[in-house]
Amino acid sequence: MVRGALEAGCTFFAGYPITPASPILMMMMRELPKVGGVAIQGEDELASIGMCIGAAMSGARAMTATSGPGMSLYSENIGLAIMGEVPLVIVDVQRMGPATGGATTAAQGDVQFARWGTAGGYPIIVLAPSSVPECYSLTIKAFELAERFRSPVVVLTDRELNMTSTTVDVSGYGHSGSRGERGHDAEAVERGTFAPYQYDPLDGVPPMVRYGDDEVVRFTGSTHNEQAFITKDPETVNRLNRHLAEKIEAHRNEIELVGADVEPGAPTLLLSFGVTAGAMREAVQAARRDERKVSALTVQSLCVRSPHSRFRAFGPYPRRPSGTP
Amino acid sequence: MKGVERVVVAELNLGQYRREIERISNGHEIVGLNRVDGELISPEQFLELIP
Repeated sequence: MVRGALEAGCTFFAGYPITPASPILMMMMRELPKVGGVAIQGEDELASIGMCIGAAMSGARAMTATSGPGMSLYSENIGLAIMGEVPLVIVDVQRMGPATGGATTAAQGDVQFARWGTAGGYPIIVLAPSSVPECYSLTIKAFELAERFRSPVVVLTDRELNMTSTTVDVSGYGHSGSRGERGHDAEAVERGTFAPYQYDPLDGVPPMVRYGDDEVVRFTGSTHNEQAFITKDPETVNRLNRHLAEKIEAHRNEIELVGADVEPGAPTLLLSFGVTAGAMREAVQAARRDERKVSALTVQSLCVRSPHSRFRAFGPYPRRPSGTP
Repeated sequence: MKGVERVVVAELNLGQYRREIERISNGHEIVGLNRVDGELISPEQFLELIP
């Protein structure tokens, strides 16, 4: 994941030690300065994610990493990142919960917490690598999606994957996108129409300009208008809140990622994600050696709501009743 | 994926993602394969659910 972050152009990392996420902090402290980036061990989790939000709003590609108890502490600032539309990558290396749980115990209990773990009920993109190569490629993808949608993106992994050492030829998992300068929408500035939260249509993504540049950039966790001035005007608030959901929901075809291994006519479909998908793939191979038919889906993006969903692959998608939002 | 009768959703929790799949399924049997004892789900556990 660190290698993926570096490939994606990550320039800022802050985190607080917690098993089993600490290796990411340690490796970032070692590797990020070598490419001119900044890696900081914050005084706690609240400070760490706060630093990342500030760095991201100032033009850095920012990432933090923690485990379940740290996600609990991140919760408030995840909300701030949603409302402030901050591109930010958050790695959650799951361990057994709740509470202190089991620091070195395998678990995948943060699925819904990662997706909905802050006040308000607005969606967060969650990617779930199921192998070391996917840790690399999906971390790159997380940075792309964070910038594409100006949104926090969670990379949901687990103890086994994060503490496994494997040699991977990354040449097959390269970064196809640009790693150019981030955080400055020159077009909007040139048009003279820049506003920090300008979106039209509703599912559009506001342009970004860094703190410290010539344009005025405001940031708030409160309901706001396009200029980032606090407002309680019902029409503006309604539009803002629908925008925060719609910019993700309307583009799920860009977000939903599934690895499909389909055997025509197989009556059983196995579906899994993360470290569990490794055992699933091994079982599929063993079953086929015994001439048992089986298909498998490795879910790489933990969202399934869209009518465009690739999950339709295993059956007709039920229509929503008319009037359902 | 015509002909799928049963979907097995495997995860190291009590079915958080299985419930998501149940919401979009249409008559398929949805089966959870779950562990919360700190151990991983093994390939053998999957194989027991493949006819």
